[in-house]
Amino acid sequence: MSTPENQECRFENMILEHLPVFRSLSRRILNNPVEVDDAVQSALLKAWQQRHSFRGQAQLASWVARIVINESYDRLRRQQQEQLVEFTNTDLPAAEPSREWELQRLDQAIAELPELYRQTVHIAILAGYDTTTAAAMLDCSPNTLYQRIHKAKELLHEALQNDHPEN
Amino acid sequence: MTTPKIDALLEARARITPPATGYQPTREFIAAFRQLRQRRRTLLRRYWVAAAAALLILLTWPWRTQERPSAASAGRSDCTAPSERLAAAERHFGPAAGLLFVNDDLLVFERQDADRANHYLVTIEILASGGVKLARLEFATAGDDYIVLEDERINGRIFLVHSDNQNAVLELSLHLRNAGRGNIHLDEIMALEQRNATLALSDGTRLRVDFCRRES
Repeated sequence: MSTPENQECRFENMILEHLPVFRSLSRRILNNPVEVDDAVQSALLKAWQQRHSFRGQAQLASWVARIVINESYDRLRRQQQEQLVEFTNTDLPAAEPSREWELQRLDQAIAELPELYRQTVHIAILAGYDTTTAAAMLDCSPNTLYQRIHKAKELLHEALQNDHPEN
Repeated sequence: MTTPKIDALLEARARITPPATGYQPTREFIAAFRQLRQRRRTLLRRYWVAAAAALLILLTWPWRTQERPSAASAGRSDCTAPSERLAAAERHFGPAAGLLFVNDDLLVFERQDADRANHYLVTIEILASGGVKLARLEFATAGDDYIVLEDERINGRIFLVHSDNQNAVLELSLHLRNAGRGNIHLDEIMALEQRNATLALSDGTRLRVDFCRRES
């Protein structure tokens, strides 16, 4: 039987082993090391508190990685809401938009995707994991992963299609 | 924005690799996580105890306002079993909560080691020179305990170390606001070699302590 001390020890060992992965996933979203560490801490705390709901067949670190991604995007969304004025339609560039502006819009659209597709885009496309690893981290088969990527891109297209009506 | 354009943007986004520096060292990060977890745990426990205390006050209000036997008779015909009121409070709050009766008032505090069972019962009485009871404290303990009390009726600390089933050392540093019977300040260390011990204090009052292993 697993004692509370054993659980704590196992959880901390998992952090020790996978902290670079968690940080790397979060820093692609938040960029700032202090915010990244705060997001990872917060995600770890949530994972610890919800550990009883963790399904044993999934890998603990993969499950935590997905919570890290959610937490980081939640923080990004909050940041974006604070700077909302930058992304309103009135600010839409009249001529060719800058690449920086387009990437900001992309980040915003990803942040607003449903959780499942947000995680898929982040792990399978942005973080650059190969199909097998990404599928394992998302606790699905490679075939399901491809379908999710396809659907996620459709949703991104819907979200961004009105940005440049001339295209 | 077209699909190829989105694909191109996703590729461009994936190529941006933020610097991997400026982070807390791993050991410090884990230590910070441990503290965060502990703080959250303490906070949750305090919320729970506060909610339970409020509930108990509501539930026992009619009983508290009824006329009932004084603290003197609430007591210790058999010190190996908790008084009815302490047993009722333990049933209500569960084994993790620290419970202390100061005269007729129940205080709930955070136990130092909530995982260990309260095998011992302690009763402390402060008696005036004529034997009149000035104050009575009653609580259960794991045996070794460091209880910090911060309440308007009583504040200070109770430090208890026991060496075997019967021998123990009790250190009291307490200030009681004893309505109508004068404030009491205790700063004493007592060796308890039997079930009970009495200590004469300098102002003519006496301190009587019962320390019993409870029979389950």
